[in-house]
Amino acid sequence: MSATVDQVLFGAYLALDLYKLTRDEKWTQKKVAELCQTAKTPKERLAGARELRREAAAKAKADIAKMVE
Amino acid sequence: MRTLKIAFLILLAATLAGCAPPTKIIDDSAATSPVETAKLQAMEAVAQAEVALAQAWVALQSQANGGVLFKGEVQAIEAELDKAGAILDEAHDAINNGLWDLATGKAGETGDLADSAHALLGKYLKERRKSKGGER
Repeated sequence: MSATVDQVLFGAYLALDLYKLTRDEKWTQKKVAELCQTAKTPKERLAGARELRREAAAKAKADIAKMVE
Repeated sequence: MRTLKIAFLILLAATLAGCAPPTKIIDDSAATSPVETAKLQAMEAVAQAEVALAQAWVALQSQANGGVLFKGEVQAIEAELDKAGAILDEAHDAINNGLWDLATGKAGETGDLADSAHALLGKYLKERRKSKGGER
């Protein structure tokens, strides 16, 4: 493959990664905003943040398990 | 070259977006004593670590969905994130037992683990793009 095609492919991969990165960050920011709206006390917010991590982990694990089956 | 320039601009935009401070989850401004301030600050550190870890899981899921990573690589990153999750569970126990400094320390530890998982992800992605062959 020519160097130019390689460069273009690398650029496309990089752009895709960055798109995913910003999309994931927006998802987290949205979830945190929702959490701050619904949970009022520090204890509730802390528990909500923990729940958010557990949900994200469970969802990712289930998705990954399907992919590697 | 044009794609590279566009990619660079996107990188710059994402970097600038990433510079924004994280949204505060637990506010300590209304604390009435130094002890309460310490408690709320520890809770905030743990909550931020929880959110960072949630984001790390989402990022792993996104990259794994792209089909670029090998099974073993995904599992290695999963193991790092699981370790971080177990430490955060300990941080919650520390908060419940009034051990604020311990909880803050554990939140910091998970940050290091999340960084290590992120570094692993970056390393694997770079390797995959260099060598396009291999069994996934």
